[in-house]
Amino acid sequence: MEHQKPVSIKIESLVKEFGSTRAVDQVSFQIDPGEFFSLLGSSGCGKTTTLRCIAGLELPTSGSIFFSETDVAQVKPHLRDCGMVFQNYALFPHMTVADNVAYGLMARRYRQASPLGKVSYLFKAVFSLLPADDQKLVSEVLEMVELTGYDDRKPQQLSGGQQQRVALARALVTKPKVLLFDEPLGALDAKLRIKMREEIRRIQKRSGITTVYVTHDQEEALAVSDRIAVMNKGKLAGLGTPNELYGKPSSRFLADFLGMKNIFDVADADGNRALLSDRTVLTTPVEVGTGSSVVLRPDSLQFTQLEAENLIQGTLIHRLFMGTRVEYLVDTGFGQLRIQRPRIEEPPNFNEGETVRLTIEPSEILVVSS
Amino acid sequence: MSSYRVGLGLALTLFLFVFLLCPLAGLLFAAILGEQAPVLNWLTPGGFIDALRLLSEKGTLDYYREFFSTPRYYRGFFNAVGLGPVLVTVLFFFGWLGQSLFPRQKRLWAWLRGPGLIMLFALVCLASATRPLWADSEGMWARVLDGSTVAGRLLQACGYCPLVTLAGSLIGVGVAFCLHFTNLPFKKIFSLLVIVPLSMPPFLGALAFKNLLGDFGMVTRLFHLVGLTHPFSGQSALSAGLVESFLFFPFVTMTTLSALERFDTSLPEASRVLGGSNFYGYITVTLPTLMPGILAGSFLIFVRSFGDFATLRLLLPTRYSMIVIEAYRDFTGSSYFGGAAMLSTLMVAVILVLLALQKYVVEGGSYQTVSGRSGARSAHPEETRTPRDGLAALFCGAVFAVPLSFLASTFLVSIARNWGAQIMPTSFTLNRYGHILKACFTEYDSPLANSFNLAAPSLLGCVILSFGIAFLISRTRGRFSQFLDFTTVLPFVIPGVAFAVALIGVFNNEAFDLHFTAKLVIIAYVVTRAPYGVRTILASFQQIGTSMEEGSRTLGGGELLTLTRVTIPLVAPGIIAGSVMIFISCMQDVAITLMVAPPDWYPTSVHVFQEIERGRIYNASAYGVILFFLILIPYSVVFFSKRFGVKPGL
Repeated sequence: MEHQKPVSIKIESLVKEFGSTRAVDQVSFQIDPGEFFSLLGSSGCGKTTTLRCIAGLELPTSGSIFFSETDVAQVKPHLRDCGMVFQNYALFPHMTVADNVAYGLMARRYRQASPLGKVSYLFKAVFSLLPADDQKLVSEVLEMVELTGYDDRKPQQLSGGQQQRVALARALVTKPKVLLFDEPLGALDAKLRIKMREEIRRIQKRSGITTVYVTHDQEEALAVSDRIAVMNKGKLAGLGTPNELYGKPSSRFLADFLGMKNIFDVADADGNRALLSDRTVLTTPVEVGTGSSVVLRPDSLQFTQLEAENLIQGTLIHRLFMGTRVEYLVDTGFGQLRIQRPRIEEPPNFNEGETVRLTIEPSEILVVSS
Repeated sequence: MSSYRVGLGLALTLFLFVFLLCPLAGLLFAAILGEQAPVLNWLTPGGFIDALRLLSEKGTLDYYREFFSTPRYYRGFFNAVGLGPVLVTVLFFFGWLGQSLFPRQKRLWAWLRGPGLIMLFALVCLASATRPLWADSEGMWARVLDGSTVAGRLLQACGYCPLVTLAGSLIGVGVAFCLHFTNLPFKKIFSLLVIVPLSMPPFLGALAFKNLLGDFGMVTRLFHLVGLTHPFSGQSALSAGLVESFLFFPFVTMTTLSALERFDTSLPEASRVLGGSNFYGYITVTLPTLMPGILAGSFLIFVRSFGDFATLRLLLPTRYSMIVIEAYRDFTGSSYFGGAAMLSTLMVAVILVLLALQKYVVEGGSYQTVSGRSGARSAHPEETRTPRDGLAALFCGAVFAVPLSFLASTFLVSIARNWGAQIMPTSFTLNRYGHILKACFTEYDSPLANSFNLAAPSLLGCVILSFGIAFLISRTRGRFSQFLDFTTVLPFVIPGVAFAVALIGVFNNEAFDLHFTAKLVIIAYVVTRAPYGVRTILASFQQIGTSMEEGSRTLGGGELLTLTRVTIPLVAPGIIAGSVMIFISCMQDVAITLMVAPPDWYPTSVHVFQEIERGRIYNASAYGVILFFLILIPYSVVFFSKRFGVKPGL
């Protein structure tokens, strides 16, 4: 399928208020043409509201939204030329798969027709009489999502994954400028979720449409996106490629949200030396401020018998066998530490309740602002 | 299955067989025998031989032939259901048949089903309007479409009941949309007022209409005073249609509102994002998705207007044939049982066809929302009011003003000492209410006392029957449960006149002599009102599921203990809600009671109807107001009490 030239999206100082609550607070970012961009955050962080503002389903209280050079913030949703996949798919239950997919095509025909033509298209839409051109397009896009032959089924006769594909096909068939996903995989089981997210990624790359993808699942966002914006309480908390975000989270919130373990506040600092709450001293690769936190990655911590730099002492609480690796939980003076080591490396004589010594390379310590 | 369930099943089946299925079968036999068919007597070995002999000697299709040769029969039929709808239904049936035979011709059937039906209907309307141009004044067409004006012939082409259904549905959907989508002033009051038209027996509306807009009505006199006229008169199809539309519209309002509550708001949003304007989305997404809910209400309006003998009798001109009235006339006036039975079978057939159509539309659409997490976001109510809200209030105000003015005028008449040529009565009295209440407590067979004497045992019997049926439907699976489910819808949709004819046919002979007894009235009430109880109690059963009963069983409770300590207390709200619906429905009945009850021993509803027919409108109004409140009070208790959790109002 041929597509129009991809657009860029620019959000400037977007604010959306519902009564006295501010759902989106001064959010700005730019999405490059053809980029797969994710909005990540826990529920109520304003990510879906931002997406709905882009779609036009909510009018922003203030701020602008540009598709390439045009400000669309006040444009009605049906004139924005977006395709959207909803969390519950929002498939029209009274229409067949083919009618669902052709919906956007018919709506556009209706919009562009003369008054008499409008009546005729409305009539055709109500009685599901698709023009031959549309039928061809519908078959093409159904083939793309591997649903050939399902034209006459009703949505409720399909499985969750198939419904998802129909929703995707329906959003793609009009070759929209922008593709929007609102937690599209939330209703699927874990295995199917992984399969579908790969599929979405594949189809997006193939069509080259600028895409905004909303999710609360950090693993999903990291897996599919070109870039991710993490939102918290209506504000932008971080922005970057998955590698940047995961490798160097800029704040304690980000590190926590991206699923990092062993985050500890720094009680006092002196240059490259951080003092934790129990006077344990850690040497860090960068200068530490008093308001910072350190992240000790579970797989960077090592057991040691010797005196070493960055020595940590604690009591082994328990040991969990996890297949390829073993996880240890150690109680230290500054909090509980999680350590992951490969299974083959397991030290033989560690019993629960025993005192253990741990060390970590200074370069492996991550310093983030609190 | 435990033995007591089998026993319960057998007992219920026997009851339904004797008092529902046998009378309906008897109706069909009576229509081909021309006399009452004692079906129950035929079930004995000797009776069976008699039946065969009788059928071979007297069995004839003459009565159905007569339908085509007697103008008041076929006119009554077409006036009620309309030529257009009949032809459209026939074409639809052939389309459906063709689609199942040649499933590949999808496009052809799509055309036939949509544009084809509309074009056929338009053609019928056009042909009817221009009938004098193409049919001579003696032929068959001239007799079916005998209206003297274009409007009259169009009415015959569309049918009285379909038009009332359409008008009532439009009003009902309008009110529901106003209440749901706008922030109109007095929203609470308007949603409360929905039960006023539902509590008003339609014949009371007819009386009020005559008092207001009839030839000597209050409004008519007011109009004359300023030298104006209005298009209504005391006796016309327009007047009857107006009364019925404005009293029956809440059926659609209620079903539409409950469809809107379940409506997934992401559907219209999807339509907008995909490029559909608001209007386009309304037509292609919102309305079709709500359609099953709307149609469920429309179906109820049709059933009510089709069988509403009393209103039609009071408001239609005597020369205007209507099938339900013709059946009643054959039965009482000319004692022509064959004709009455034949017309009754036709009425039952119409209702069955509609039931099938409705089921097809609802199930063919299979409209449950698609699985997946519900993404329905609550609409953020706008705090400021727009002109749209004002218009909505104006519309709702105008709609509810009609039933309220009916009520007000009836009350005014009931307290007027007398009312001559003035616009308003000059002196007032409450004496009539005093007399009525006194009679209720002192006279054994006053209408009010009769009402309670009939309603109380009917209520008891009906609750037991419907609890048993609901219990079996929810706790058994398969054919038997489906059979019960279907059988208990039947009496609800079959016109009262037809069911009365059916009952009398079976219970008016030496072996089973129940005609003109209160017993048969009570049995008829129990059978015909059971659906109200079954639906509400069944809803409660389905809400609670089976896990609690299973819990009781695993803790060592026997079937009886489980039933009395767990099941019945849990479904009690449903039983109470159902009881109220049964009670108020018994209080409203006219057709069955009038035909079955002992002569001159009538409950309030029939008494009001007869007083109106005799022209004693003061008395009728006073009784009517009392009847209205007897219905309104229990109804509002159930309607507004959250505890009952069940939405009454089939």
